[in-house]
Amino acid sequence: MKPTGATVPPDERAAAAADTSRSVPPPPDSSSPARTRTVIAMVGNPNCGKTTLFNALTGLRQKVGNYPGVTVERKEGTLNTAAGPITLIDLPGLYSLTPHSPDERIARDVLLGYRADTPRPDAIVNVVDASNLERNLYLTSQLLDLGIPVLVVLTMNDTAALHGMRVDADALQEALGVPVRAVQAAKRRGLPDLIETLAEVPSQAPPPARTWTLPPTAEREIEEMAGLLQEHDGLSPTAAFTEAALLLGLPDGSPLQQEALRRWSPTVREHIRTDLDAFAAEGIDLSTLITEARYTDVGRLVARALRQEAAVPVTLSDKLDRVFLHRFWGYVIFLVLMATLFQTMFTWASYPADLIAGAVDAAGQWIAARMPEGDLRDLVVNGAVAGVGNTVVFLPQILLLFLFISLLEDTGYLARAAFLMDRLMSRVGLHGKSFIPLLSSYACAIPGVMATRTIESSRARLLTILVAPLMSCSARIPVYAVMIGAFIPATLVFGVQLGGLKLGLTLQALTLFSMYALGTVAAFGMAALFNRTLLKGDGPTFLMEMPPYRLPSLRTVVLTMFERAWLFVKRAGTVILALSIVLWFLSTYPKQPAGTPPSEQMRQSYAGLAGRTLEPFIRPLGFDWKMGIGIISSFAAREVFVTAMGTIYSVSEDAAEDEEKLSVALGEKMKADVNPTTGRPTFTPLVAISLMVFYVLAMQCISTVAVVKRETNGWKWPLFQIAYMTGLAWFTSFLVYQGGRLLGFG
Amino acid sequence: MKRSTPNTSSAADCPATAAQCTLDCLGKGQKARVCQVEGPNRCRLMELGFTSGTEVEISRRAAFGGPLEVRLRSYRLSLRCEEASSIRVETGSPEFT
Ligand SMILES: Nc1nc2c(ncn2[C@@H]2O[C@H](COP(=O)(O)OP(=O)(O)OP(=O)(O)O)[C@@H](O)[C@H]2O)c(=O)[nH]1
Ligand SMILES: [Mg+2]
Repeated sequence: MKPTGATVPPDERAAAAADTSRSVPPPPDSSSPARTRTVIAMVGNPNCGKTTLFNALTGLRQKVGNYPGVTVERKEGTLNTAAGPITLIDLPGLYSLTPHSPDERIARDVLLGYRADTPRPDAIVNVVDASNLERNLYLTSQLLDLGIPVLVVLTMNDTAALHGMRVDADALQEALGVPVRAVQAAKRRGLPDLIETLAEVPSQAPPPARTWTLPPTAEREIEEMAGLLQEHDGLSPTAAFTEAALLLGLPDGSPLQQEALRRWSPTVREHIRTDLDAFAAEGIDLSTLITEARYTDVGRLVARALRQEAAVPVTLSDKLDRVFLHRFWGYVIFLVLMATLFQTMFTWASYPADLIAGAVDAAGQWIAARMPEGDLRDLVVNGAVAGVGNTVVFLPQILLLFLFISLLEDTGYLARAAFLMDRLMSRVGLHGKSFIPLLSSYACAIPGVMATRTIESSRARLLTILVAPLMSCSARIPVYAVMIGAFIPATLVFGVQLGGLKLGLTLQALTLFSMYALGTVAAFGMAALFNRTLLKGDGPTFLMEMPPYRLPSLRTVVLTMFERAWLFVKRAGTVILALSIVLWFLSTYPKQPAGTPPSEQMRQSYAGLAGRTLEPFIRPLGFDWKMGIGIISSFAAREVFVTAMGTIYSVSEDAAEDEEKLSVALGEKMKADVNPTTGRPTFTPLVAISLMVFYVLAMQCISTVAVVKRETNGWKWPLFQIAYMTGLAWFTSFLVYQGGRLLGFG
Repeated sequence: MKRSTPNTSSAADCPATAAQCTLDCLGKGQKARVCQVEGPNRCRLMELGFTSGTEVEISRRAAFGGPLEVRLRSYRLSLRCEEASSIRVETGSPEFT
C-alpha cells in the first residue's frame, strides 16, 4: 500500500476550479482517522428535492428553488436519531459521477473521497425523483457500485401521481436490494420512518453486487483495470472496480479522461491507452457499452417498480408552457413580467418607504430633543440615526425585489426564461443558464457569481462571472432612489391618473428601468466584446432539464424574503452603522476655529480632503468633492453612498436651523446645495443621471471582488474586472455629462 | 471526440433501410428513436438517457433558431441545435408515421 497522499496529482487544484478548499485528495478508499460522528451524504439528480429533505431532517433553512442547480456548495447539518447525532451533508445535484460542471464536481469529489476537508461519507441517502424514475436510477446504479451503504428516498410522489404514475417502494427495494422509503418532505410525511431507517443505514452491509453486465471482453477489461488500480494505487477491491468502471466510461481523448488519468499511477495510464486503442480498432466504444448496460439494467428496475396507473394526461405544466414558452407570447410575457417588476418597485414601495423615512426622522428628533447639545448628540443624530436610517428606507424596495425573484425561482419560471433567452445569450457567448446567475445578480452579485457553477462550459462561466456585477444589484437601489426621488419628476409618461393614484409608467419608474436596462445592456455588450477578443475557444454546451411548474409555498416565499431582508437590516445595523460613525468622525475633524461656517468645516475635514483629492478626476463627470467622498466610501458597499451624503449634509448644516432641517429628507438637502463659486446648484438632473450611470457600471464592492477571486482561483480576473468596470463607468459618465451639457441640459 | 465511434450495439436498432436524420431536423411533435450520439457531449447526452433505441419527441422549438425541447424517458430536456445535431435518430418505423 502506498502511503496516504502518494497519488496526489499536482494539477488537482486547478481541476477543482470552483472548489473553495485546497483539495488534496487522499486515495479514494482511505478511511478517515478520528471520525467522531457518522456522516451521511444526500445525493441525487439536480432539482429532485434533496435540500427540501435536508431542511426537513436538520431543521435548517438552506435555499430551495424549483430549478436545477440551486445548491452549489456542500452544506452540513445535524440530525438527531435514537442512535445519536448524525452529520448530514447536502450536496449539489449531479446526473452522474462524471462531472460536467463545477457544482457536479464538488458532489463527485465528496462521494469519491477526493476532498481533504470532507471525510468520505459512511452512507448515502440517494434522493430519487419518482416522477422521473428512469434517469434518476442511472445515478443510483453508479452509487450502488461505490461499496457504501445506500438508502433510496423517493420524493415527488405527488408529481408522479399527476402523471398517472406510482412508484412501488417495496418492489423497488426488492429489486435494488437496498432500503427504499417514500416521503413528502415539505409535509413531513414519511419522515419518522425515514429517520429510523437512516440511523441504521451506516451499519448495514453495502449494496449487493451489481446487476448490470457487459459483453465478456469488456467485463475482462474492467476487471483487469480494477486489478491494476488495486496493485499500483492501493485501492480496495470495490473502490478499484468503481474507479475502473468510471475511467473506462469516459470518452476517449476527452479532457475529463486526461484529468482522471492523472489521478492514477503511470502503469495504469499506459495500460489503458493500449487497451482503448485495441478496442477502438475493433470498433468497440467502452463508454457507450457501460452507459447502455446501466440503462438496460435500469429498464429492468423500472419495469418492476413503476406502475403506470392511468393514461399519461396532459399536465398543467404542459398547458402553461403552451403560453409561457410560446414563440411569440412567451417573449411578450417575459417583457411584461420584467417591466412589472420595475414599476412595482418604484411605485408600490414608495408608500412604506415614506413611512419608514418619517419614523427615522421622528427618532432623530426625539433623541435630539433629549440630549444635550454637543459632539455626542451630533454623532448619534447625524452619524448613527441618519446613516442607518437612510439605508433602511430602502427596505421595502429590496423586499419587493426579493419577493419577485423568489416567486420566479419557486414556480419554475426561471428555467423557462433561460430557455427563451438562450438564443440571445449565445450570440454574446453566454449561456441560457447564465440567465439565472445574471437575474440573481439583480439582488446581489455574490450569489450570482456562485450560481455560475452550474454552467458546463468554463468559458461561458467565466464570461458570466465577468459581467455579472454589471447587473444592477440591490445595493444600488438606495443611490437610484435618492437621486430619482430628488431630481426626476413623477410625471406620467403614459397611463391614466385617477386622483392621486397614477396608473401607468411614470418618468421616475422609467428612469429606474433605464438604469437596470443600462446595466443589462452593458453586461451583454461587454460579454460580446470579451467573447470576440479575450476568450476564444470551445462552443458552449447548453443542456437544461425543464422542471414542472409548482405552486410556491407561501411560507417558504415569505420566510426567504424576510430572511434576506433581515440580513440587509443586520448589515445596516453593523457594517453601515460602523461606517456611518467613522464617516462622521472623518467629516467633523479636524475641528476648525469656532465661527467657521459648517460647510467650510466640512471642506477642511479629513473626508473633505479625500474628496477634494479625488475631485480633479471626477470633475469631468460633473461630480464635486462631496460626491467624491460618497464614491470613495462606496468601495466598502455601494449603499454607503447614501449614508455618506446623509452624514455630509447633516454635518455641514447650519447649527441654528438644526432641528427643522433634520426633518428635511436627504434629497431636499442635495437640491438646496449651491456651489459657492458659481452660485449654481451642485446637483442638477444631469449630474444625478451621470452619477447613477457611474454607479451602474463601476465595480464598487469588496465582497464581490473576493468571491470572484475565489471562483476564478486567482487575482487575474478580479483585477481585470475592477479595471474594465471602472474605466467603462468613467467613460460612460463622461459621455453622458459632457454630451448632456453640449445638448444644453444642466 | 476526435475519433468517430462506430457503434456496434446500436446496429440492431438502426436498420440501414430506416429513414435517418439528426435530431435537429425534426419538427415539433415528431417522434423518433435514437441511433447514435457523437460529438463532444456524447458522454453527457448518453448519461441523460440518449442511448440507442430510446424514444424521443420534439415537444417545442424556441423562436429565432433557439433551443429545442425534447421529451425522453418521461422528462423534458432543452438543448441547442448544435447539440441536437450530434444525435442521429431514426424515424422510419411505422409507429412514428
Ligand atoms: N411536489 C413536490 N415538490 C417537491 C417535493 N420535494 C421538493 N419539492 C420541490 O421541488 C423543488 C426542488 O427542491 P430542492 O430541494 O431545491 O431540490 P434539490 O434537489 O436540492 O435541487 P438542487 O439543489 O438544484 O440540486 C422545490 O420547488 C421544492 O419545493 C415533493 O415531494 N413534492
Ligand atoms: Mg439543493
